Amino acid sequence: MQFEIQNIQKRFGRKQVLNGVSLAADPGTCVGIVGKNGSGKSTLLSILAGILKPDGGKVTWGGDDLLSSPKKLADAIGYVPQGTPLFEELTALDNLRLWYAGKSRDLAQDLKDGVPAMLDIPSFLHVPVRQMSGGMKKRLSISCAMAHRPPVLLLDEPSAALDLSAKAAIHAYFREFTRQGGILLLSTHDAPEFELCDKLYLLKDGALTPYAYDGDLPSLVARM
Amino acid sequence: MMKLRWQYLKTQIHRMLMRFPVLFLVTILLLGAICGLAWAQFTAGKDEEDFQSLARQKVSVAVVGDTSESYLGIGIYAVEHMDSSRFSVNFIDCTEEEARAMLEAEEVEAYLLIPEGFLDAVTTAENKPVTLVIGGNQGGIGVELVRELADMVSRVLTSSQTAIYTLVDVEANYGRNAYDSKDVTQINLRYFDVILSREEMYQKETVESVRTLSRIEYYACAGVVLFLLLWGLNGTLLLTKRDFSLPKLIRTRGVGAVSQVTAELFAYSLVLLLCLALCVGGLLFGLSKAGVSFSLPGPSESAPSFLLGLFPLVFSMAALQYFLCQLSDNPIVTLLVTLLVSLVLGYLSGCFYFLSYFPKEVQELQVYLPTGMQVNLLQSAFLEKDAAFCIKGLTGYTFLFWLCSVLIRGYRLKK
Repeated sequence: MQFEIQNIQKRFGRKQVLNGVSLAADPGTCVGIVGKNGSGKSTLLSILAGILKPDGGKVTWGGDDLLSSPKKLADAIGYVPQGTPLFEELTALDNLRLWYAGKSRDLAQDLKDGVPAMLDIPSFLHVPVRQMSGGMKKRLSISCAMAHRPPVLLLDEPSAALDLSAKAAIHAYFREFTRQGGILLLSTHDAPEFELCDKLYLLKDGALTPYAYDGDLPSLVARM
Repeated sequence: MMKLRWQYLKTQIHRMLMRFPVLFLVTILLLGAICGLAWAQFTAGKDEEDFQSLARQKVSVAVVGDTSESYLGIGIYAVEHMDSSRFSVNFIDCTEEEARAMLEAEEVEAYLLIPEGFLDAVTTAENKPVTLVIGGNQGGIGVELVRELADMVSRVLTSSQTAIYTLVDVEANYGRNAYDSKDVTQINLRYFDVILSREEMYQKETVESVRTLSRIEYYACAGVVLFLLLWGLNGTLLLTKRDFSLPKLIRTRGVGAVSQVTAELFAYSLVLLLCLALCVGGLLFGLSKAGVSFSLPGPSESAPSFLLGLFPLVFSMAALQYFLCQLSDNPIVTLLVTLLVSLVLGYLSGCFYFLSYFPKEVQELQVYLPTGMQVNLLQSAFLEKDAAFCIKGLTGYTFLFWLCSVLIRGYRLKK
């Protein structure tokens, strides 16, 4: 099944942020979107996650129009935003319980061999979020987003402000996710993350352009 | 989707309970401050008379005339110490120049000019009127009280004159021996009845609640509402959101603005109720240990039924505070807004001063303010009055604040 975005349009006031954005991703692929701040990366991911409504365009998964069916969209997509979508006062376990609502057996199992286990959540299961490092919070956010086992995972700058070991842990999970047939769509500014991506797109002036990263960062910056 | 909504509610309750120790500590400090204020009020007034005079300031009236004349002096002393006037009138003996100066300086409401030989004129039925001088710019209840006083003095004098002339008639017709008759005794008794029916001298009409509630009841009502208002400062800690990632994300899973606001408001109300229950329990325990007699209002006078009766009050207060915390994503802004709104509403609802001190317009407005209804709901519990208006009003306010909060949350989720 293919994940496809067709001709997405979005305008904020007079500014046309997205102007006919289209792309397609097959299972087991990682797609990266680069672009300077304010280019519309987060807007695009918010639309794909169902947070924002586009002015036009379609998002399909296996032929189904996800934008016209919030239930199908919620089932198909997991989203990790830039912020911290966690309850700061509560522990990792309490936060996971919210997203595993009514599925406590699944949670117990996943803590043994699922996504939380892969991201080493059990090592800080009872730590309150406000006492966690940035890497812990990001790993927990990914675990929460994956609670309903979506085939498509969207991540908005997942490794921003993380240390090297946290990045390595998260990247290892991304590789495993795509190896198992998942589709990863991430926005990033981080050059090492480009290597994870099977396809890279440059978002500029509201449109996506395929881009092949060759290690020449100054050239990329000039094109942005 | 229902499971996620239910889990969101449980998580919100859990989240707020996690902050409970800090909140409770703040609550105890607030309660201590309020108790301190109440104690200062109690000890400032020595007895119920002082409390009454707090609610009704005395009217000062100057008296110009020879008060050294024994009968006139006794008359003024009697009026000054009558039950109906001793809390309301203060006579000042002075010259006419001094009285005029005080009237111009608005230190007295009016002055009475008693002509020389006034008592002789009374006994000989000459017309030597007492002049009542009132400032041209003055009005209001003080002046009305002075007019009442003048009417009362006239009535005393005409009754005295009637008695004197009746006795003169009796003497003329039956001789001095007639003073020994039972008829004269009857006349004297009727005269005393007329003159000494002191409670009927003023027509009294109580319009403010302080006259119908005891001090401790009044301060209990004001204190509870003030406590709940100030507790709202805790709300800024619990309810102000800087990061909307989670609400936005959970909305995509079917928990929209209505469900989010309802769950958060319900959880906040429960924590507020829990804090109040602990404080009421603690206070009752403390009062019983101190040997102070105090019974909770309501048919059963029990703490659970009292708290049950407070539901409309607690939920409306929680809804107000929740709404205020939705106005900004900056905790400092919401803290200041909550503090300002709490102080203004508390002030206008009689939590700091008696309502009778305020203009009539404010007193009328208080009835329709959410905090005014909350105070009135509590007072009606003590007075065993019907509180349907307050309950309906508070339910309406709860719905209104909930609706406004839903609209704000909906707008923010779509931003």
